[in-house]
Formats: sequence, structure tokens, C-alpha cells
Amino acid sequence: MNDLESQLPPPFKEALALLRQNRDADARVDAIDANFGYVWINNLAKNTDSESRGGWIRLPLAFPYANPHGLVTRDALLRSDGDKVADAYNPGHETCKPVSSNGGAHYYSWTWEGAPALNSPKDIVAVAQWYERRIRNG
Amino acid sequence: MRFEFALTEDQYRQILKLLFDKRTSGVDDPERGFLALAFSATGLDRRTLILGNIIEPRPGEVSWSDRRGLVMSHQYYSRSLSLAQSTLGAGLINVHSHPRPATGTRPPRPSPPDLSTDRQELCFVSRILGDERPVAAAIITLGGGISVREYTFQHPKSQEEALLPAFGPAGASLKYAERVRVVGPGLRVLPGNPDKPLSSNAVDLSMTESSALLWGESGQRILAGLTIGIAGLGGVGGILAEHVARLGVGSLVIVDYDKLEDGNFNRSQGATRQESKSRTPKVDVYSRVATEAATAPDFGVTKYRESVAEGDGLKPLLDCDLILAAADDAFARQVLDHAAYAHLIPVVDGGTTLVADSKTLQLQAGKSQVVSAGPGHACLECQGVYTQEEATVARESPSWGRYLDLGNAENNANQVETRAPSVISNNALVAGLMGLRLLALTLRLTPATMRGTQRYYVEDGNLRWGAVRECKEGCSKNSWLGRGDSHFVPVGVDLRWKDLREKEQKSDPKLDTSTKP
Repeated sequence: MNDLESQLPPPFKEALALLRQNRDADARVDAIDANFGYVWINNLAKNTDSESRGGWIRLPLAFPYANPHGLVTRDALLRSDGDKVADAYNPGHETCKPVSSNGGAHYYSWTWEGAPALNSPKDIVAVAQWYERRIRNG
Repeated sequence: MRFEFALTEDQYRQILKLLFDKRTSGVDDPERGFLALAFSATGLDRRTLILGNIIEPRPGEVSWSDRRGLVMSHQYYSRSLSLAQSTLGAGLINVHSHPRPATGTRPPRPSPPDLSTDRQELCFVSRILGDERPVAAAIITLGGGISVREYTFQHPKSQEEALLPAFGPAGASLKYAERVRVVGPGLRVLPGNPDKPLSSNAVDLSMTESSALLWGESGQRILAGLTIGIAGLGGVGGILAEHVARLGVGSLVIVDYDKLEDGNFNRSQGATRQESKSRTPKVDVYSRVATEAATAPDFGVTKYRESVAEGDGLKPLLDCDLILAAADDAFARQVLDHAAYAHLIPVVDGGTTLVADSKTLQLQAGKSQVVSAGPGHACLECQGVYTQEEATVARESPSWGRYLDLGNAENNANQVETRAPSVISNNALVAGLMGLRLLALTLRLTPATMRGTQRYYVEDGNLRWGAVRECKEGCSKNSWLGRGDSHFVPVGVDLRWKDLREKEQKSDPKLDTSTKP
């Protein structure tokens, strides 16, 4: 456990452990900014094979009692037809700053509005799946 | 640090049935007993031991013998210890009955054999659970009186120490809970220490004569024994500080980080122009107002210039018997909603939303709302006071939900200085309803008004009750009921307070922004 992870509240730590167990053994927290942690998931799938995998989900420290808010990526996301994903796209947004030294440069400010309710640290796995669906839907 | 015991009203009834209803067990033993989980709930100046799951004994696990008294079997202890070990933060409490006194809620005194058995059995329990988890014993009488004693044992660090009497049952120290809070949907406070009856809360009936005509001297003494928290000292919280002090409450804990200024002066009842000009912190203004208004002779107010959404602002509120939530913010509301269930502290929330037409700036619609939450109530979230998404966005942006949408880009650029519409008369209505709810919960003045959501609709002037009385299916609040410190209350960084704190510290690096007693 690194220094950042030792600062996390117990339900967040539990969620991270479950994410590593069920989704990506290398998932990690690269930054904490106020009320959000930037969780890197290495195998977050994109639409085209040419795109680099992975991204930072902005997970609230109060997870699962608060919702994920946004995704930061190294490269701009592409739709399956090759166009850029335009919905809520904020290139170079200041929200990327906490992970800019790791290459974070593109912010998608997708909220959890209308998504399934979150109740348990176990829901972290569904959150990762939801982001992949969101990327696919452009 | 004060030490208290708390349980829900449902548990209280369940216990009385389990221990005194002959039909429940079919036996007529002089005493009965059971084991239960117990959790610590810690505030700034008070620690509460909260009764957890009652582990009902199976046939033969608890028995009475004339020679040995009440005996709980090794098998029963073993089963209960396994449950405690697998439950985060759980300790164990041994509860048994005393048939007398049959009336009244005087706390029963343990007999010498009770104390001897406690030491033997709980020393063993403590060694297994470790010193982080509470171990305690309680006695309940037929009349409903409760006394609770918590034990501390020294844990040996070597084999040599393990053989010394100081590290065994003889080395036990015990502490009685001073008060017992029975929570949900109302609040009752019983004395807890048989050696020290609750001090008779001082009242001055010459100052409270008109209201004591409704609830008597005994009701006035109940109010004088309460510690009430007020979270947020805006238009509603400021009025409440004065009302609650005038009602005769004994102690007030007030939490707010904001300062008085000309822009909020029109709804700051009791504040002076001088306080507005000098931008006095609201906690200073309302500790003065409450102290000047108080009718309880021993009234005291403690103030904290903090945000309720942060750990430092929440902690002092966990010392309170009931919290009046007037923070008008989804983040703070969510924090208090969690605390209400985990720490067994009823919360009464109130607020007003007024919507103006963006072009004409005329009142379009509005709603004032008062809601109670905590054990025996639906939670604030299920009653529609906030959503998880609102509580998330409030963590994201300090400006969320704060400003009037003026509907065009030019004006939007100036939104930073725009306030949400607010009228002191609406605030007074909410504060009045919250005060009445406080009386319903603590004195049962109007029992039918303890639960639910009251909404006043500005357009038609009607006051209606909301339909929601129970939490929705899938709501998890009851799963952390009474879990105390072992439940994570989702505090965080209040970005508005952080901004203000940083600005103040920049302008005066030596400044300590907190106002702590």
C-alpha cells in the first residue's frame, strides 16, 4: 500500500482491493484531489485497437456513498467510426492536473446521473464496466 | 470524556419482552439474560456504547440455578464471540434482568455476585476480542430502568504478566454510563449510573411559565438536560439558536464556518449592524444571541467555526442528543444522515427553496420543508431531501446549486456574486416547524408530528405531509444502524470552507481560522 492509499477511507480501500481481485491486479490510485481519488485501470477497453488502453476514473473518496464523476485519459477517446468522442469532452481541463505528470490530458466529465444506484464497495466492478460502455456509446 | 449508553426504542421493547415476558421463554426464572454486540460511538467530549445485534440464546444456553445464579453457557459465549470477531468494531455486552424495582426507571445496582461474574467472564471476553473492542454488562429492571457498566482489563504482554492478578479479573476497572438514550422515533433520556442519579437539571420557571403550562416542570427539566446541535447558522439556524435557548434547552453546540456580512444581514435575526460591518463569524454572533436569550439557568453554548461536511465540524455534533440541520447543502445533509443512524442521534432537517422567474425576477414557486431522520424514521435521502448525485456534485464544485440561473451568458459571467433568493419570513416558518418537531421528539408534545416530511408550498400557502414514512427498498441506512465509529460517515473537504480558509490565511498568515472552545 502506498502513501496515497493509506489515506483512503475504509470502504474505498475495500473497493480498490475488490477491483484488483476481480478486474485489474494493477489498478492503483495515482492522485487524490480534495474529495476525489484518480483510480488508474490499466485494462479499460477502448473502441479501436490502435488506442492505448487504460484511464483514470475519478472516484469519490466517499465511494460508494458518492458517485464517480468523470474519466481522465492520456489520449483523446475515439468512437468506433474513428471520430473523437465529443460528449462532455474537455481537453487539457484543470481536472486532469492531478495526473498530468502521468500523462493525463483529456477529461470527460461524465456524471453518474441515471446510472445504477451504488450501495456497496463491490459495485466498483460495475463502475469499471459502466465506463467501458460509456466509452463505446461515445 | 462523558460516557453514555444508547439503544433504539425497538431494541428497548424487544429486551423488555425477552427478559420479562414469561410467554417468550416459558420459564419462570428470577432472572434472565442474553449477550449482544456493542459498538463505540465517539464524539469530541462524549463516548457512547451502542447496543448492537441481540444474540438470542438457544434453549439451555442461559439458565438459572439457586446456587450459581444466572449462568450463560460456554457454548453461548463461544457463538457470540465468533459473531463479534467477524463484525467490524463489535464488542460484547452481557445483559440480565432484575425483577425490581417493578416501576420507575431508576438504574439498578449490580449485586456483589453480579460484579464478580462480570469480571470473570468479561476478562476472558476481552482477552479474545482485544482492548480496542468494548466489553460491558447491563442490568434492566421490570420498570424499564437500565444501568450499564463498561469494563477495562489490562492485557498481558508476556507469560509472566499473564500470571499476575493485575492482568486478570481482579485488575478490572469499571465505568458506569451516566445516561441512557432510547432513540427512535422520539428521544428519551434515562439515568444510567446507580451510584450517581442524574443531576436534577436546573430550571427557572419564572422565565418559562407560559410554555411549562403545556409540558410541566418535568418537561422543562427534560429540555434543560438536553444538548442540541445546530448545523449551519444561516437564515434558519440563526433563528433556531435563539428559539432553542429560549425554550430552555440546557446546552447548545453550534457549527458554521461563515461570517456575517451585509449581504446576509437581512435574514440574520439577532445580529447587529456592527457585527455585519466587522464580518463577525456567525458562531460568535449566535453564541452571543443564544446566551442572551437562554432561559435555562445552567445554559452553555459551545461554538465551532467549521464545516459540518468535514470531520472537525461533525465531531462536536456527535456529542449532541439531537441535531437541527440547517446547512442547506446536500453534502452536509448526507453526512448528518449517515451520523443519525450510525450514532443514534435524531436529525431534524429544514430548508427553503424559492424560485424566481429569470427574466422578471418575480417569485415563481417555492417550498419550505421540515423532515426528521434517524432511528424510527425514513432517512433524509429516501424522503427526497437530497440525492446521492447532488451530494456528489456538492463535493465537486463549491458553486453548485448556489446561484440563480439568470438565463444568459452575460449575466452568467457575474453569477459568482449572485445569491439564491431567501426571505427571513420563510426562514422563520422553517425554524418554527423545526422547533415544534424538537418538542414532539423530546417531550412527545404532539406525537403525530414526530415522523415524516412537512412541506409548505409558497404558491398556494398549504402545509402538507409527504407520503414517505419508511426507507425505500434497497436503502442501506438501517444496515449501519448503531454501528458507531465502525461505520464510515462520508465526511470530506468542504470546498467553500477551504476557499474561505485559504483566503483568510493568505491575508493574515498568523490567523487561526477555527473557533474552538
